[in-house]
Amino acid sequence: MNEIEIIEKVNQGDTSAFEALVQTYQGRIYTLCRYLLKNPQDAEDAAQDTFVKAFQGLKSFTPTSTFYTWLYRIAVNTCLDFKRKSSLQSFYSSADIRKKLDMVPSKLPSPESAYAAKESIRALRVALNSISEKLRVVIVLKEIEGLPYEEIASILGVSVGTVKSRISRAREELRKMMEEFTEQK
Amino acid sequence: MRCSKASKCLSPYIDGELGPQERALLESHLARCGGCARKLEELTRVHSLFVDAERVSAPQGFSAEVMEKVSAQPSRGFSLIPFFTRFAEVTAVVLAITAGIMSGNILTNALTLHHRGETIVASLSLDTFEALPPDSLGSAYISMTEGRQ
Repeated sequence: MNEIEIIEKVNQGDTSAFEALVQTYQGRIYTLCRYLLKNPQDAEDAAQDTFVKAFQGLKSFTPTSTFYTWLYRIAVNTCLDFKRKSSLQSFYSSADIRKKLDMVPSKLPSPESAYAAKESIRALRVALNSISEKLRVVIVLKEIEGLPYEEIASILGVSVGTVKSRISRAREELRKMMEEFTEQK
Repeated sequence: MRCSKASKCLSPYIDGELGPQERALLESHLARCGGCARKLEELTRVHSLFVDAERVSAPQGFSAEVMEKVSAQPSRGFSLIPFFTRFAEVTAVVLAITAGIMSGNILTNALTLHHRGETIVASLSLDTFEALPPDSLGSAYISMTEGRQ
């Protein structure tokens, strides 16, 4: 059964059919929420809320966009709402950033070793959480979810040009932060 | 292609989002410009870090929890009950107003009838007659009859 058929079944009253959609996308939506929200529990709650909202709004879904584009849009908005609700906790303060940077080794070893790769990823996570929400969303959708520019533009309701510009700025900011990490001490 | 234009093309180039013509122009520029080539290398390094970035699985029991929440939502099949439920409040208010108007009309009519009855009785009562003028024939007649009694 394809997604459109599953959606039709759900809209006709077969709630259990929705589980197929949950199982197909739960990993991707949860991963997205983990990268957009600091707290793993918040990420799990946001991911669950995404699916509940998708179920509630399923009658309004039209096949003009793909189901996963529509679902991602709900996930991004849900995560942004989470951030607004707990704004004091969601953002790193400059003291937090300093603390996090101190946890990163002062000189990153070469990328060949598994340990180095792990430390690089940790540094990347810190850097990712330090850039603005607007830039973090696009870079996560591009790099983690592997979505093309047009899909990202559709999810966020912006132009492809805006997506290109934000991805460029996000990479530039991450590059500068990673450079800072390697220059420490 | 100038460096200012080339730097805007670096990210789309990494992502394979440049058209063939733009790609050719950028590659030609990169072959001549060490600064932009270095910048591309740095941005590519940032991009490659994401290759190893964690892709996590949803926690165990995730879909069961979602389905539990989803099952608690109102029924999605066609039913007349939600239709009536939705308008029950409005229907109740309309009925109350109608009942009020009707009972008000009944009361008003009853009062009116009562008042009319009183009016009819009153009109038949001699007490409602105005006093006769003193020099009138009627007054004289009444005096004669009172005198006889």
